[in-house]
Amino acid sequence: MNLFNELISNLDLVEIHFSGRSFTWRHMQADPLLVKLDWVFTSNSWTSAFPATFVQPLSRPISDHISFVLQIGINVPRPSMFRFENFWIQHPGFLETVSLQWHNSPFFGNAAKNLSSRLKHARDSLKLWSKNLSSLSKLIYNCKWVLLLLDGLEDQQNLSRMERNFRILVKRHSSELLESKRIY
Amino acid sequence: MNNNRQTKVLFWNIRGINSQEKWDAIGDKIKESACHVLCLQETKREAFDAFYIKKFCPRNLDKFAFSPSIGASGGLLTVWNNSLFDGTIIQVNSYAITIKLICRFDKKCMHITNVYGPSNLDHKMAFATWLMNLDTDNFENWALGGDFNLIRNPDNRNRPGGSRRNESFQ
Repeated sequence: MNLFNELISNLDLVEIHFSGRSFTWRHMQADPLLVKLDWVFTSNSWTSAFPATFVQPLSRPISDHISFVLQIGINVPRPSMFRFENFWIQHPGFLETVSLQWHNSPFFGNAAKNLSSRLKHARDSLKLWSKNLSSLSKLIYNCKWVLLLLDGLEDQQNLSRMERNFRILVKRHSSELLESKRIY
Repeated sequence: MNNNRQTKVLFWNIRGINSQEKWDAIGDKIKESACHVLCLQETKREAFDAFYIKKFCPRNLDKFAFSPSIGASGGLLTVWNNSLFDGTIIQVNSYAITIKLICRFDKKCMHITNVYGPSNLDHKMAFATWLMNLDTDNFENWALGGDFNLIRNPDNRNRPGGSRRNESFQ
């Protein structure tokens, strides 16, 4: 018996499978060697405490290993969060969006109430406004989707030269996009 | 407010953390996965401090434990969200970091082990010995994940083969 399997069974562990992915590591060469070197195991007590546990593989922008998320069925509170992005300020529509709401919110006699009401209105309109703002996130998302698809395809068959070159281009593009996102 | 959100633990063998490109990529994966715990392997870095962690972690991932690389090889880092989890470091060595997390809301306990198994055959035996002798009696709800550098069966490779990386030791 494979010693690794023996260890796993001695420790009474259960393997959590990676959804839709057979391999996790790729040797960077034309006809790549693909191996599953990454694993997740859980104890028996885990299985009963968190029955809704699975592993979601993510795309591989860099490194020869994929990253993956262990998703654990447990309840934690979700804050309803508003994130202000610094690059908004430079955007032409920003001031207009804020000032419109700022001046159009209802007027209260109480100054504190006035201020908080205006901030709330500005926040809500910024949320809406920002949805149509940046295509950057969308582009990054698309790059990841293509990389994930190519990695998945490679699990099944060798990629053609064209597909491999395409992947290199997409990776490079994806790093550039991430860099501009960071600068923002 | 409780929307039945899952707890998410992101694992990645990053093959060296010391560049802006890696920080960007990790930061983006944290965002994509919306993880509450981050487990990195092969950081190839000897020490971490709060300032360095901020290069790729958002503010809510604010507590960490690391195992230093030996020269330029190995190295592990586990970061968690301290406002969600009360975390305790249970064990740190060159193969693994084990932390105990107690959810501050439902008081459920988890043990998460971030694993980096060596690729060199001699070290693999030492890794196996460590794993074999690991005292897990107090590990309530235990998950271990990461790069074990081992395979379980021949199907874990796309072609039969070679002992180039010695993934198995039958």
